[in-house]
Amino acid sequence: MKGIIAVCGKGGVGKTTISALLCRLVLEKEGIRGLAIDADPGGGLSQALALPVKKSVNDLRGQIITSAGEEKGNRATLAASIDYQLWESLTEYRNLAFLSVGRPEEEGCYCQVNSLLREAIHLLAEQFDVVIIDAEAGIEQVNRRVIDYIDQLILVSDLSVKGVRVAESIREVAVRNLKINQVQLLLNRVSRSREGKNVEKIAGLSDLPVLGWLPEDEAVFDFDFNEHSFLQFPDTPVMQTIRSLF
Amino acid sequence: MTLFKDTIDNIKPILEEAKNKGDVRGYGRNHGAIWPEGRSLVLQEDTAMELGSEKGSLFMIAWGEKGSLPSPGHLSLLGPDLRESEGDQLPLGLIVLVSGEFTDDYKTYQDVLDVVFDSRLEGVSVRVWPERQRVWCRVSHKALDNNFSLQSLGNALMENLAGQEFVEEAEVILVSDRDYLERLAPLSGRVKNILDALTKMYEEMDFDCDNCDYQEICEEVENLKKIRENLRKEKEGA
Repeated sequence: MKGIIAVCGKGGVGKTTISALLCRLVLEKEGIRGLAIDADPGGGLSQALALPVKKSVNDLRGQIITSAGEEKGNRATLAASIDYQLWESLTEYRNLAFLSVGRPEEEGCYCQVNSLLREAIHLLAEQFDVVIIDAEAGIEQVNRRVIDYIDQLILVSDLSVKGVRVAESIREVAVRNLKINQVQLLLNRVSRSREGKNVEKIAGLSDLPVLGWLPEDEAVFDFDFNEHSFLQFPDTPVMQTIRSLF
Repeated sequence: MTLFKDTIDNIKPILEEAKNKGDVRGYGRNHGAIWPEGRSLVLQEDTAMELGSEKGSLFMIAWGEKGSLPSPGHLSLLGPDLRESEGDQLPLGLIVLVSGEFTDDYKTYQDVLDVVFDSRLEGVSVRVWPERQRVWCRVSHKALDNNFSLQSLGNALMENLAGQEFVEEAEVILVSDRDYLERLAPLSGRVKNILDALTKMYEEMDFDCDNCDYQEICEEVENLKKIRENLRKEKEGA
């Protein structure tokens, strides 16, 4: 488990849960320092991890624009201030730090602030051994608002043809907009009755390399329903599979 | 007359008094090993000591002509070093003074700030927020076990400053004593006013002094007036 991992896919396929389980895996890794970035404007990762958002990147951006007066402010001062406030915005839990990107910015061009923010996130991410990005379906937003390269892009799909087709279209956009080392398909919520042939059939619909498949797990539903932190998730089959894949 | 002559002159008696009371320790450059650069990520669970931030900090950069610094080439420590502190938190003041021949004050400000910003020490996180004059430092257990000290921090900054062509002499003052921090705070406030006025001039190129928040400081600091006049002429000539 290393580098920048972005989890992406059609809405409702379980990408936030998978991101949260990857964060849970970080806690097991001694000596590893992980950064979780919630890049989905819905903010689901914060809830899944039960880690509060101190200040989102977009809150920070808004404050800088208001206080510095749009594009004004010395570059070095702004860079240092953004760096300080970004670190202050991290919510920490053991060897994991969490950052929320927040809702998309309002209209207006604040190029200097945006580019300094992206540079600061890049510098921040560089410090960590592993970065997990819970991305929204429109992955191009990740490039514009978070980071411009990804080591491993995980495209999540359920056992639906639509899910795989969406994954393919995300890949197309992603490779145009970001530097990506590896793109893989991860099938989620595979029930016992659909293991085997169904997985093969769905995987065969696409030329996307298949990372693996995650079993349907009642504990995921329970944790979500009862709003428990996935950082406390037990060692059930889905967690064991995550561990074997990453 | 330079932008910070008064400020630097006002630091001198405070340091002098501290010396007479035995409250200051001075170290020449190359006194002690240079702490290696490296990964500066320090999460809470790795933190042995936390210094500064909103709990008590001061950050100041000032520059002047050669010969104007109180103790050029020296690092001064006002207050306890890390291992002398009883708790795991300390206030922190970081004062960086440089001297040389500076033709562009605005560029000098950015250049000195860059040196501080780019100093990434292994197992030590140092972050500065210039507009709030804040500095925030986390020292990891590993760094503290390997004898990292405020002296190590000062040495590393001195070394990085000495490596810059634009710097003739450098001086770093680290303050971990709350009383001295409070005494130095008004000076840092004045530096902030001067730097804000300087930034406004360069970034906005608006010379409507009657409607400017920095009119008072510009009237006080002779060199700010000169810079303003030069920029105004430049703008009119453009």
